[in-house]
Amino acid sequence: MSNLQQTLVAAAPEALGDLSLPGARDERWRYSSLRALNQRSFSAAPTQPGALSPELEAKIAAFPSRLVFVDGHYDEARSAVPGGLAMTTQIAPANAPAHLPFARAASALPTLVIGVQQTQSEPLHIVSVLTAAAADTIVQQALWIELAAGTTLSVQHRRIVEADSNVVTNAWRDLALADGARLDWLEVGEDGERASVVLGTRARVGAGATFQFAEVAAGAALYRHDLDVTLVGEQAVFGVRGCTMVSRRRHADIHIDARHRAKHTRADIVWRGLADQRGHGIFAGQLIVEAGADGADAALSNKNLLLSPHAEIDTRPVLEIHADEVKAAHGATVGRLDERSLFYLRSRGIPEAEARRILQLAFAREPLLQITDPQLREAALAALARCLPEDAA
Amino acid sequence: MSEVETLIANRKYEAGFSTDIDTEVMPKGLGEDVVRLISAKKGEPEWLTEWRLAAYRHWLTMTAPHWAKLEIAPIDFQDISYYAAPKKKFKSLDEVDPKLLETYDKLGVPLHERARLAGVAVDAVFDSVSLGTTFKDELAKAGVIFCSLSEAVREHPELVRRYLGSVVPTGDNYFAALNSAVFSDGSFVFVPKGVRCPMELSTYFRINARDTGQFERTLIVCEEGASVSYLEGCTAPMRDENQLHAAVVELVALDDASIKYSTVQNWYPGDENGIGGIYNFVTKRGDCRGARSRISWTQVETGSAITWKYPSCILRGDGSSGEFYSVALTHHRQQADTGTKMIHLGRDTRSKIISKGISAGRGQNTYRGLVKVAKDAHAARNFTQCDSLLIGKRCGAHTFPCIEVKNASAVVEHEATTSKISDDQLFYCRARGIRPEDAVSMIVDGFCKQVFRELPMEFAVEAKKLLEVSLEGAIG
Repeated sequence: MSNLQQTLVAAAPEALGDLSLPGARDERWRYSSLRALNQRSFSAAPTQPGALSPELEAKIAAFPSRLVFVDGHYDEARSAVPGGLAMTTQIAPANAPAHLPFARAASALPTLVIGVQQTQSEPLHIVSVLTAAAADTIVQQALWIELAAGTTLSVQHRRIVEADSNVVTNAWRDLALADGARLDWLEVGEDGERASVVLGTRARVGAGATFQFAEVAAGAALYRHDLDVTLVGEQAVFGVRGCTMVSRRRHADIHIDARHRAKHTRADIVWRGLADQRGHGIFAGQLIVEAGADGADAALSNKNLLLSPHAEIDTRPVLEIHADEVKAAHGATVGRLDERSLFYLRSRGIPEAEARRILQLAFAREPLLQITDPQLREAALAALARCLPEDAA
Repeated sequence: MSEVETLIANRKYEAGFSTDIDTEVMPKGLGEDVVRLISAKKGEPEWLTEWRLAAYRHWLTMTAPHWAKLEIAPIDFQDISYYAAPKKKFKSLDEVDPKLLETYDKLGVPLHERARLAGVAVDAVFDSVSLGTTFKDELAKAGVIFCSLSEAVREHPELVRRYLGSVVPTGDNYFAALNSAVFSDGSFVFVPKGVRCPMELSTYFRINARDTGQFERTLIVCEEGASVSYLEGCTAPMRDENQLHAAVVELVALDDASIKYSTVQNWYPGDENGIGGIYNFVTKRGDCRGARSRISWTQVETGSAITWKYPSCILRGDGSSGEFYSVALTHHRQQADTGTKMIHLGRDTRSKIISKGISAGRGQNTYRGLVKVAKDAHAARNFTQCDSLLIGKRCGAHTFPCIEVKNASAVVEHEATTSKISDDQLFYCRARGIRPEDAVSMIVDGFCKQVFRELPMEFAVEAKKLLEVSLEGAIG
């Protein structure tokens, strides 16, 4: 048993049973190796939120309504919780699906439960801060958000780091949308190049409810996000707008499973990927239409640009259809920057490096521009601008 | 039940008869002695016996793969007879038991002089042996070798030794290892440098004996600038048991060579409750070894209880190209997990994949593919299109493509759609006086057109007919 596995098992208050981490032959982890993590040994994670630098404090305070986690611990003092949210902490047996072992470990931890009882007009910022003290540790976090029928919530989840370290983040978010609820979620991070991040998100979307998810994945030494969404009620809607931008030696592995369980449900996934320098971008999107989910409408598009001879893109769009009155389609491409567009821009006096940057940005922005919530859209575009390397040429 | 579903109900399997003939069947079971016995029966040289034994020993260390989306009843490898052949010995096709010739006649495969009219040279494989090959002399005049693999081992051992297992190594996968150990016959084609094979070559596989498996092996080699078009067809009697067919096909194309390999697979698919039928677990791989070589796979898969195969191309030579055109139909409880792998290794390599899956009844149809562009495969190009057609509420259509790109100059495109024959479409056709059966045929035919036009003409007609028969009663 690796120290990684031992540390995860030891952290759980109740026995996790057989927590087997993905091996080298695990298809779901084919392009993301845990070898480096398995060879490391970890220190005990900080038990209390630590002190923060004044700059970080100021950065956090700038978010008007916020839930703050420092090194995985909910920090009530730094949070500013808006009205209409009921907050409790609960400990329950691990309830994450078996195919997400990291999420299982996190889901066994004390979980912050947020009940959304009223529609929230302002976006809620969930700020996960990693301090320098978290180096050499595994920081875990579990969150459960429940939206009551007809309520609306918009969430920006931000990961902020004090300094780049080899910390491992393991976060699990369980989202339940009751009938007619709507959740808009944006996931952005400032993870360092030495960090490892494993995110698990599960959402169950009720009748007539809508879950719109957006992400800008800039990658890390190892970055993995499993998004597991089930459309359980009729006319439930799930949308994804995201992009991966990995450069240097960053890695980003996005797995999205969209499961249509009820009639007339809709899933629509648009993801763009760019890999530069020695970056490695992976996208696996699975559309599953279960028997009886007639009238399902499922679409997935994944386009990628490979920008350097040393970068790699792997993509796996999957369709699993068990019903007939179904509309399902997916498309995936891998290519390079269009030389003609580049020539066009250069012929208008734009230097090559700038022209490349413009084209890359235009390519990656496409899905983000379709984010319906204006504040989330702005935040996503800002995050994209941050992660596009200056020396894009 | 929708109109479309009721139209596909009583499927007829026309090749479901069996031929009553004295057959020598080896006792059931598998072991080194069986491998040696098969080798001895064929009078094989020592190296080949050892090659088989090495494969067998390797197979013992392997476990059956489970990753496919298939429900497979456990296979008892000791409950299969690995060799069955008609008892009566014969030297040429003229001496073959007329009953056997009748069998092929009934299946529409010409094995005598009349064959001349069809202009196709045929190697007829019956259970574990080849009955004979037509037009051998004529082909020999052009320098083309076309014979059974057993004969090739005797007549051209150096060629067989050089190429056998060079594309699909003995330990490649579970069923390829099993095949390497117990393969009984198959076809061998060698087209020398600069020769265009003057006629279509074809092999017809027939399983007849009960409780047997068929393990044939096909090897096709095209030297520099040579080209060949090869077709295979297959059928089996209707039986309540599942019979295993685990074949290996290896293609080698040197510089500027071109191989076109077409399959119309019509093994017995089992009845509407999923009883019986052939397990068709096949490893097919082509190696574009030479520059500008070309390998094209076309398959029409209408039979078999379970089809599990991925005809692949290794695009090693610079400028080489690979193609894969497939129509897979599953009906009743048939399952198909098929697709291709295009491995781009050389510069300027191209590949194209067109896959059409039709699912009816409780059929499950999966496309599984890999397009891999290696780091040095500069300017590789791939286009993939996978379409699924669903007929009925209880069937399934799945697409598992995998794209791995390590070279920034590659352009890879994949698209997939899933649709159904809607009652609206049917209504439209019927309103114009077209019978529902014909309307469905028309729609299915249109759906498969891109693949059918890749088939040689006679096969395209047969394939079209097969789809019609297979879908019979699916709609109504």
